[in-house]
Amino acid sequence: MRDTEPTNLSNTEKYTIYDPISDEMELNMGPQHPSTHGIIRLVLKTDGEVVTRVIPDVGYLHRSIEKIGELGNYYDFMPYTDRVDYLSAMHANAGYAMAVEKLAHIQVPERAEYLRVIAQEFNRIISHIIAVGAYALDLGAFTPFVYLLREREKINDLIESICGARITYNYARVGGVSQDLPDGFKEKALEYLDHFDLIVKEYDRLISYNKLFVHRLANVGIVNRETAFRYGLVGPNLRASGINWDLRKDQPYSVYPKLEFKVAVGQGWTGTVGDSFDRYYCRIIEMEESSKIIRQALLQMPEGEIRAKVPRKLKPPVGEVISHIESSRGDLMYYIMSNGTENPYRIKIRTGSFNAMTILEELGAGMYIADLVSFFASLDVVAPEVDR
Amino acid sequence: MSNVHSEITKELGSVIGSDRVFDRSQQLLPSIEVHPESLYDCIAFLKKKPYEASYLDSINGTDLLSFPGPEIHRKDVPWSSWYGTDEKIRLYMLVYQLVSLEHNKEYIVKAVLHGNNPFIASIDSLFGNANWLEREIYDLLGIDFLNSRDLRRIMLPEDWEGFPMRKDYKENEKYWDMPTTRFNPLEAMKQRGIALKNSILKDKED
Repeated sequence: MRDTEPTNLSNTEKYTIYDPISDEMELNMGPQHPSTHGIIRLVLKTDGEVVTRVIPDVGYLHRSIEKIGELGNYYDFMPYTDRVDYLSAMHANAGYAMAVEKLAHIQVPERAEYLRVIAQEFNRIISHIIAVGAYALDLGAFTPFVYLLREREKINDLIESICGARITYNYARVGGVSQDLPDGFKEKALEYLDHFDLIVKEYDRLISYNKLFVHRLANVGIVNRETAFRYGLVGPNLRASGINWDLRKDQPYSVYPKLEFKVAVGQGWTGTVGDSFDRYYCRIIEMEESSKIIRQALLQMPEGEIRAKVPRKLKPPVGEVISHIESSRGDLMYYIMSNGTENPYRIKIRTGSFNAMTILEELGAGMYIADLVSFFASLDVVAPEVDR
Repeated sequence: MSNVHSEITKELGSVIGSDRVFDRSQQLLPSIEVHPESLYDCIAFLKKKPYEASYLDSINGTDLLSFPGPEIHRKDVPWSSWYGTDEKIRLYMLVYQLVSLEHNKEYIVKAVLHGNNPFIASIDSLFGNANWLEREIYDLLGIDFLNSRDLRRIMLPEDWEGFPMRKDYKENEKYWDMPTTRFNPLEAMKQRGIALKNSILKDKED
């Protein structure tokens, strides 16, 4: 191994985490912590209650998914995409299927596109339920999280009736989807959505305008426009800073041009534009918009096939392709390179949480520890997306 | 989209020299390829008007060891003499993606490095999230980024040896006295000569 290491390394300073100065403490917001949303280790150097430096240490969940993708078929990789982000698995599935279809020039039937959109928007709702509920839980409010989990269970049951699984769906296939809707799904879904619209308003009454909650969120972790661009933030994090950029409207794919919905842009509802409350409230608005999209999609969906004919052994032409999809945590990018054989040559997945973690080092300095917890929860980072 | 990359090639050629830029806008993924020594100037050029790249989307790295015909990369570019005359030289490809929100376009820049110890300039000072993306490529592929403010491993532990995403990577037998492979009963049976009857793997072995 030694002869393959680079020998012309420039003199980067030896990085030492332990640097003893009196009055400065070094704390481990360790791999096991109730409010780091997964297995992420943050080393904090604090002066009392004020954090002077944040050093994130990731890699506890590295499963080398990209290298495993080079071992099997193009079709074999679909269950692995579920596990890249287990809370929004349908987006990852559909993004991979879109990339392979672009590479091999496969046309997807329209009913399959509508089915993918319905499953993705349900997935966006349940992913934001966890994001918003876990945020309240971090600050000590147990009741809103448990109320929302009850809704998540009902949506999980609806999705289980379509594809057979509650969390890691493996529903999209290259060329379409795997199964059709069962009988009576449309009526059940519409009835549930009527009930869900009232739940969001109940949640607002419970916590969104609670004085303590607002005081802990307003003016914490303000991300202005230049900082958002410099660190490559995507998704609700970018829209909360006042930038109107949503891939479903600006670079549309699938059947989104036929559906009407609004984009949630941060306006500084309680405080300045780009603080944690904006990031939190954008997610609540997106949940409401998703239920509108599902209603329209259920009414517009045509009859037809659900999967195009694909060859048994798929050998796409030599080349590369990039596909973007708007998942609940931002822009999920797939880069696939093929060398003309059955196995892909290189698969690269770039997730929204990876870019969001890079902003911690700059903005974390100078905050109180309690504000750091609130800021980190507002970025909505999940650990398996960062490490893959 | 291919028009944008052809335009960029012409204008960039007048800024840094037309023998340092190559137009690859007719491929399935339109892009421009630059000489690795002028990558920093190219990305600084794309940040200004009229292209106004807003943020860095991602940096990908690939090892072209077993790609069919990697020598094409070094033969059809104007700087082919930079790669030398060795037929079996090892190539790595880096793909930079920049997104511009004003013009709603995506710019893709490629750079191909060679050798056993490849290196390229870091774009840390232009974009803030380049540091973590470059650390991931250093960790998994072994490409050195010069003038980076902080280059160390990110996914793997600091004392890991080797670069896993390379195509000829073989892990060590042990890591801190923990074996890196697991006992595989099929291998044990093969070694003892026990025939596998009625096995679904039988077709694959033949």
